[in-house]
Amino acid sequence: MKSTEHPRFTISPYLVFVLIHSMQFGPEYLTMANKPIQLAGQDAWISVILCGISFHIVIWMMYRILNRNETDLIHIHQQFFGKWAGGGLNFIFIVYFLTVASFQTRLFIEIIQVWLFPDLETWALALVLLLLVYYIVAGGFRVIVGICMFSLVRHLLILSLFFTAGSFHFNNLSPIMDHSLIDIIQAGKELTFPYLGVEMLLFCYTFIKTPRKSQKWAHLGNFVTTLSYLIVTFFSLLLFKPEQLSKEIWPQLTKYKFVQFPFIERFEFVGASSQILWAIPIICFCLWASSRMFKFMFTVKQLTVLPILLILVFTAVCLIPGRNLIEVVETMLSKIGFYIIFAYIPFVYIVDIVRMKVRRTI
Amino acid sequence: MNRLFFSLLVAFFLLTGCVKQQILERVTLFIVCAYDDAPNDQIEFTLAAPKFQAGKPGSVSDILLSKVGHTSMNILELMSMRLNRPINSGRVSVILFGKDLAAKGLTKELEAGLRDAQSSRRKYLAIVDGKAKEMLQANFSSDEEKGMFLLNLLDTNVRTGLVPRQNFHEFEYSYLGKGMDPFLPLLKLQNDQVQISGLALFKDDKYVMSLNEKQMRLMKLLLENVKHGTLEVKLDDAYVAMEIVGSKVHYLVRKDTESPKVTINLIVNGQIIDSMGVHFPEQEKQRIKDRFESDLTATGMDLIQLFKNEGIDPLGLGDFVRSKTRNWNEEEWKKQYRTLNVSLNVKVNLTEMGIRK
Repeated sequence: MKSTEHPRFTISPYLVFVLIHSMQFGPEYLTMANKPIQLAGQDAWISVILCGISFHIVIWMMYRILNRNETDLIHIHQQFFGKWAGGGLNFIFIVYFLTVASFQTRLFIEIIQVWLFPDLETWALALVLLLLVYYIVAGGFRVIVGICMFSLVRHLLILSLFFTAGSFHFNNLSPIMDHSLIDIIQAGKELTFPYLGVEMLLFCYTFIKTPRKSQKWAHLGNFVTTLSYLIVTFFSLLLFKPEQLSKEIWPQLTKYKFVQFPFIERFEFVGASSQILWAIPIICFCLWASSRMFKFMFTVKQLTVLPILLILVFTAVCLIPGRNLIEVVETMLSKIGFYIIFAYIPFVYIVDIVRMKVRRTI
Repeated sequence: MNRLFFSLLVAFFLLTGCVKQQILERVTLFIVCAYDDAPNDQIEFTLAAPKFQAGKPGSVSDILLSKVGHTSMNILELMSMRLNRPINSGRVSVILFGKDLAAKGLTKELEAGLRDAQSSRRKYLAIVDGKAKEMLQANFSSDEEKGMFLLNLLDTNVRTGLVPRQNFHEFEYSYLGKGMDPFLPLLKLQNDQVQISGLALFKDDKYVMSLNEKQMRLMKLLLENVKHGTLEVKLDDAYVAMEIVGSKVHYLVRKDTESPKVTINLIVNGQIIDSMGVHFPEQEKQRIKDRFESDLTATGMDLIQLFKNEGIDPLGLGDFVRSKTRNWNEEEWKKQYRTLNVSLNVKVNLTEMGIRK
């Protein structure tokens, strides 16, 4: 049961690095350090490394499942669990991806509303953004990867760290290991949300030219994400006291308040609006994946489903009014994502092994 | 389909003009504002709005607006009824506080600035000896805008003078952080001239006492590595001045007994720039050096004793001990602090002495 796309639609294996990295490194990084630092204090960076390692294991598991079946999760579901149960699981993933897309869109709009234009209507910006998303997704998978590649420009903003370097307090990092292991693991659990995004491999596996060769690039992508998150965490630890972080909502945007140029007095404007580079690749991929699942479930064209899904996302975005509900959605998504990564993928992995064993004995 | 897309694109392009615009020439940007204490738990908020005169570029005067109320943002709203252009707080760089208000605590007043998405974290805060409003009323800068004058005054003295570095972010940092207390520069109005007269020390967010210039200079040496500034010492009947070309401060903590022992090592490299009455300073080098060392040590130990008696910790010794101790406890530390064993070792190196022997 081998299924790969036409070579015209596939991507080179090394592009999996770009894809994994930009799917993981979303706008969640703005708030990611707050909760772990409340739990594990100066040892939060250990949690970041632990979480990164656990995601390496998950990536390895995913490749084992995918390489053995040589198809994507949509078909694996139907092979493993039959047409109806598999379809139900696919449907759950559609809902999950659409919620992620709505959350990312709403988060970006919220940042714009708080930092730049308080009087901006949610629907107006959502409409513009989703039209852009339609344009990108209609271009196909390779265009989405191109957008991911383009969004790597965001790493230039790391230069703004130098402006805050004068206020770094290296005392804040010691004493190392002053917190119990349970605290550190709990902080690591809080960190799974920013790491989410590797599950997209399960859906674009058939679009990789030589999928077996791409595993090392996927691991490299996760490694670079871990590195970026380490920088984010170290930066939060060095610049702020945990007591300050408990009051800040977006400490990573607050850092732009330290940047001063003769020609730009308020660099936050650049910083806040550049968050689109973090959000757009994820929104595009989520809509692409969910419309592709629709295509196989109901045998319709992807392009006919896409506008309907976009309207759904648009309505969901408009229905989230402000900070409180965004936080509710965030905690919900981080819970669901946690179980997808650390419960569902290992579960599929075990089912796969059992199936292989059973088949061999027969 | 393409045509539809194109027309939508044009429509969106035109829609960008629909958000609230703030054109620089049409808003009042103020650089300095002041908070003072007012009866009934109110504050008096003063701001100096710059006024540009048409036809005379370079000459700026200030309009002073002052009002009593509960929250500064509401006062700003009411003030805009007296101005021809809407007020925007995005350019505030200096905030002054009256001494009376500082003695009551500053947290409430800082809240608005920390919450505002437009306010910078690098702005300077300063305490005024007296009423902050009166300082802004005085005519201390002839052709410069008052806010710009105060900003440059604080900025140059922090960069190259003897005022320890402290800004909005650092103030909040040391106020919220455990085992440390904030401090701010203290401004004074003398004969219509503003001068930095010393350092205002805080317990939590409440002003408690002030230091003079000499103590402030040593505070700076103990807080950060300094590359500017002058030190002076009396040598029997003559005076010698030394320019600091680089100082290094290093904290050590030892815990062989029950309570921690903090050692501060301060190394000052300097060159003699003025030797009034000392004819051949080269021969007297050792004596000058010793005198500098004993003088700095004495001032420093007095300073630390003063902090211990007041129960304040502007040097952040508590935070330093925390970073070297497992399971550090703030309550326990506060008990220990008054009897803490602190020693200060100063080493002065005289490298050059100008172009004369």
